[in-house]
Amino acid sequence: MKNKNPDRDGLSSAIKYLIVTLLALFFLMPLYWMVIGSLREMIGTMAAPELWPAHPTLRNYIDLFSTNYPVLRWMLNSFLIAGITTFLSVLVCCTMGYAFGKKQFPGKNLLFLLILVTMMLPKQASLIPLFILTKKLGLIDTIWGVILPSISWPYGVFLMRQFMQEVPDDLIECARIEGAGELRIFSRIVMPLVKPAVSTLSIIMFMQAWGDFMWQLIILKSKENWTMNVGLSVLIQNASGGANVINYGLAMAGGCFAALPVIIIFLACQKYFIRGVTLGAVKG
Amino acid sequence: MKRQSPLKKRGLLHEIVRQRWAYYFLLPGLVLFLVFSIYPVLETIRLSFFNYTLKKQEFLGLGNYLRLFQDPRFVKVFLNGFRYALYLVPSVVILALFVANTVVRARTSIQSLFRGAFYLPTVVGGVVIAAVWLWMYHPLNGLFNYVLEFFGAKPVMWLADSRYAMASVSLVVLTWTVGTPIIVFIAGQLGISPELYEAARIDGASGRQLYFRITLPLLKPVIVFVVTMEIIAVFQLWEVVYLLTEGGPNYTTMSMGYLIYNTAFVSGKFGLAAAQGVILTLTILLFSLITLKGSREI
Repeated sequence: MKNKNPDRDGLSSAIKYLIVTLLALFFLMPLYWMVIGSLREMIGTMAAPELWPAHPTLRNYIDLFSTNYPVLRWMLNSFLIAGITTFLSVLVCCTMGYAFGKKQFPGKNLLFLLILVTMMLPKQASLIPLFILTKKLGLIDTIWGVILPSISWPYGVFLMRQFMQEVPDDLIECARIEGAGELRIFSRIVMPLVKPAVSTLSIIMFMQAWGDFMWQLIILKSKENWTMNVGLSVLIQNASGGANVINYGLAMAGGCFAALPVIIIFLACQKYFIRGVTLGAVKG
Repeated sequence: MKRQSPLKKRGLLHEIVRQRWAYYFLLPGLVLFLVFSIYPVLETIRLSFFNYTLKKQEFLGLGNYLRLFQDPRFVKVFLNGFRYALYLVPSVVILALFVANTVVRARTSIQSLFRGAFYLPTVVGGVVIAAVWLWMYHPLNGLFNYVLEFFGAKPVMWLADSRYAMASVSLVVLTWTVGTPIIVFIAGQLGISPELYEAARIDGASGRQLYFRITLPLLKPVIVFVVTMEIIAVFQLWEVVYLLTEGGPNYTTMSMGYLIYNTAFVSGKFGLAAAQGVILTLTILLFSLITLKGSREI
């Protein structure tokens, strides 16, 4: 896998590495700053920034879990919303991808085109009717109001169709001749073969659902139903001079708490992340 | 593949029945797509011709559109999209190309270390990133003004001064989103056959020539993809604007994405917001088409 490139210009390559390293440090600095900030007492002070807190304290974390904000509920809600959305969305991607990738039927191209068109539309294009619809369904301020409109994921269908096309027809034919029903073929033959694709898609969808903010903010009204993102946005707005005392420490502790699960997921499944990001770009 | 049937209608029906399982597999997803993706878009177009609030509905024809284009604030926000694109697209693409080209030859462990470092802000998400930057930009308590004052410079209102606000917001978006293009470019560069480089090197090409004559031209489809994605993302910019500036000062940092949210859910003018949504959608579609078409012609 080595890309041999005799370094004619070893020096300039060293300089490049230096620049890239400095850039990386600059880009990571905010996250470091968040951790440091969460370990300092800063209520109403204009204390000088410290590279490492002189008096590190867990005060902010203790406060975070004892405020009148239900932080643990937010975390649970985030996991529920992202988890359920991912499960249902990937399931729908698989069944639709299977139909589009492996079956011939009248109207196939038209229906697939319809799905592709929705891929190009910005979220804001459907915001208002979606809100009115969610209101009519009585789903405002519920997690299902967040989940239902997020399940249909055109890009996922598009990717899954490509993976399904690679499943050998012979296997499906064989199973059919041996008398397996359609559902059985799908669940026992096809699904195991596309497992890696399912993992990749699940990771992308989970991060997407976790990171969504606008729709959550519109739908979730009462603070027990907020997600980590909505809750954190309120914490930081309070910190930066709402009616309350300026307290960035609390908001930074909230930020660390919010970031922790996704960082763990990222470190555990880096491979799938990288695959997910490059899927659409490099293959096409 | 199709059988020519004299009784065409019966053939089609027969085919539909024969392939019924395909439709069973499609149905649940298709219903969701129709209800939550396709119907809302069509309904947005319809609403854009109405004065529509939760209380009343009144047909206006093109009234909303005329009103928008006569409103200097809307024109400003519309142009902001292009200003954001001007700040962000070149910086993201050049930075990502540079980082990718530097680390692509490194050992796998070092490469994934850098990849992870630049991608981490994307992983933690826009809300967390914006939260920290909001503090760092704070005029009194923030890190940046502390550093400025330390060196004897005057403090800067990073987010409240209309001269710096958009650049400040763009910097946050840059650090937040540059990870994805870096990963994409690395993968693209690894996909270029090493033999091409070997051959060129035998002919005496320099490192710079290799990059500009081989790497960049072969990377072009990937670059076009990234540019298109960036433009689409920039027009929809949302959470960072909401948290850092709420579009201020005086609409300087207001993005179309945030304006639509504001018009609909703060002012309650659903019809007007729908018209803004239609304009945003058309702009994005137009841009995607231009980039795609331009890339084929070059």
